Amino acid sequence: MRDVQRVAASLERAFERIHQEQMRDIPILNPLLRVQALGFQEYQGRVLGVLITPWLMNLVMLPAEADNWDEMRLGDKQSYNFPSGDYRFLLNEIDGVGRCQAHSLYSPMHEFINQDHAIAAAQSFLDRLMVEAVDETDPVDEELLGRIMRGEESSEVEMDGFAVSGSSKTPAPPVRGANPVASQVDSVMSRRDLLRGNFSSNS
Amino acid sequence: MKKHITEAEPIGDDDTLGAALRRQGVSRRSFLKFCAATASMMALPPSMVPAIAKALERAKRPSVIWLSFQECTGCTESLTRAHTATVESLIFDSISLDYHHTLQAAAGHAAEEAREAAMRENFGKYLLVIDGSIPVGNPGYSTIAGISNLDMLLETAKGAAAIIPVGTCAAYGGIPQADPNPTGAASVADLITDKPIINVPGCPPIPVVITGVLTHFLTFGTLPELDQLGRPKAFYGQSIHDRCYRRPFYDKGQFAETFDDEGARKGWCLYKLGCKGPTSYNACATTKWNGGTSFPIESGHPCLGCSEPKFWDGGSFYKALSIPTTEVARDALYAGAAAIAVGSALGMKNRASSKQAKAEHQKVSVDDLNKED
Repeated sequence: MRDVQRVAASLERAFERIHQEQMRDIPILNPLLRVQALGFQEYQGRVLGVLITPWLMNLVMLPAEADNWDEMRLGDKQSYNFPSGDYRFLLNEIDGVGRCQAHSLYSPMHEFINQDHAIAAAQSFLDRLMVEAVDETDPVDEELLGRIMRGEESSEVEMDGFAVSGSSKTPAPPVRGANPVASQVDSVMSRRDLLRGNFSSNS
Repeated sequence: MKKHITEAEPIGDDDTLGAALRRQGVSRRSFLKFCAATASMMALPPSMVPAIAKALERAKRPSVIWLSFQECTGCTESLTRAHTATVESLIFDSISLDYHHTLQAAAGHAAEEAREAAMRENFGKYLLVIDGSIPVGNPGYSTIAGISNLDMLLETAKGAAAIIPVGTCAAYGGIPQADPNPTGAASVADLITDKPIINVPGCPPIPVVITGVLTHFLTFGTLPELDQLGRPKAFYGQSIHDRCYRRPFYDKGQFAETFDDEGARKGWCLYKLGCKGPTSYNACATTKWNGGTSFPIESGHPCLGCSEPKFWDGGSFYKALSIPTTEVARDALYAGAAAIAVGSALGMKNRASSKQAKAEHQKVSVDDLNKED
């Protein structure tokens, strides 16, 4: 088992160096903040925690033994499931740390009035991360959307499942409603009904 | 476009979108593909696609009136040159576009009669799409058929079910409103307060976002969830920066310093070249442009932040974004921020503060545009 505290310390060292070297005099920094690794812990074999710097706050994840991130390119996106929902991570490689993945929480960091403020936000996020979310909508499936936009995929739709009335000559009868918005559709389905699959009354 | 836009009278009430699509020979597969793309963008699972298709099929073709005010026609170009005939144009061929003075064949009195007829026959039900800002300084700056933009907007908005300002000019004032705003340009939301308004900003906006909004309206009969700037959250919910594939380089401070240095060749972050990705909210990094080919940052140019209010006055396009922390932090203090802002962890970032920061940037000058190194 890895020493989680050592990982956190190496992240802090690496980002302090980045702060002193590459990020020096960058106008997007919040000078009220400093580099700090917070709440690092083992989770499903990976090491996970929040990194605060004057230019970002990320949820950072280091690989488990079984993970092989070597084939991935920097910036590749991968989604991970946590009790509170799915989170999209981008692959990165940091000198002194190695390959890791990061999910952006805040960037830039100008809304934080001091380090404690940022720590409180990080802690609040960590507290919620592992709590099962209720009624959380799924994030946009970017991969799928990209494939659809490039015409590579018409998505996981069961085409035969609804071979309709291509031949039917009679369109559905119009329904005139008093509600100007509702009358655009002959039967308005609520988003909740749609999500729960309550179609029976409409078909 | 198609003949329906040249017709003076709107399509009859018994005409459904599904029937119209079949008549135009749109294949079932193309239609489902469109529904699938829409579902994905609206963050709905693929299993919902049949339900969306069913709702859309039976939706009546809505009457749409499109008014162009102080604009460059780029928004219309964006839509009509959309890459996939089966996606964006599909929905546009399926609405009853009753007035669009760039696209319609009718001219002069006949054109205005088309607008009046559509308003009369679909009063309270038509969708009003606007591109361009409205000059309120002097109505003579922009008129159509002798009617000032302001009068035409007020008159046409009366019977609209909802208004969709398309492009940054209509949504926020855009380039016509840029300092010194010689025409007194105003946005739609500045002038209309009693109608549902869905802003679809961008210069130009992404075509599929416009059709996505229309689809949402047709499917659910409601407006999509909006952010505090009136934009649909599904598309404008995250910053370009948070979705950017160059983001890892920002994180570790690797920046291109010029457009032809080693960093630029290696695809490093464009922040120092003026990228406004950190303060810009749009779907470019996801949907991309030109058939999903690329988007500005991917082709090596910083984001201009074109979907944000006052993007033209937000400092040079090529100067590194600077955010005056102290000002913002002080405001945060006044708001009792320590308690409030902390509660807003992921996904509820404080954008108002970045807007304010942006507003404090220096004005762009000609010298800035001809940036010397």
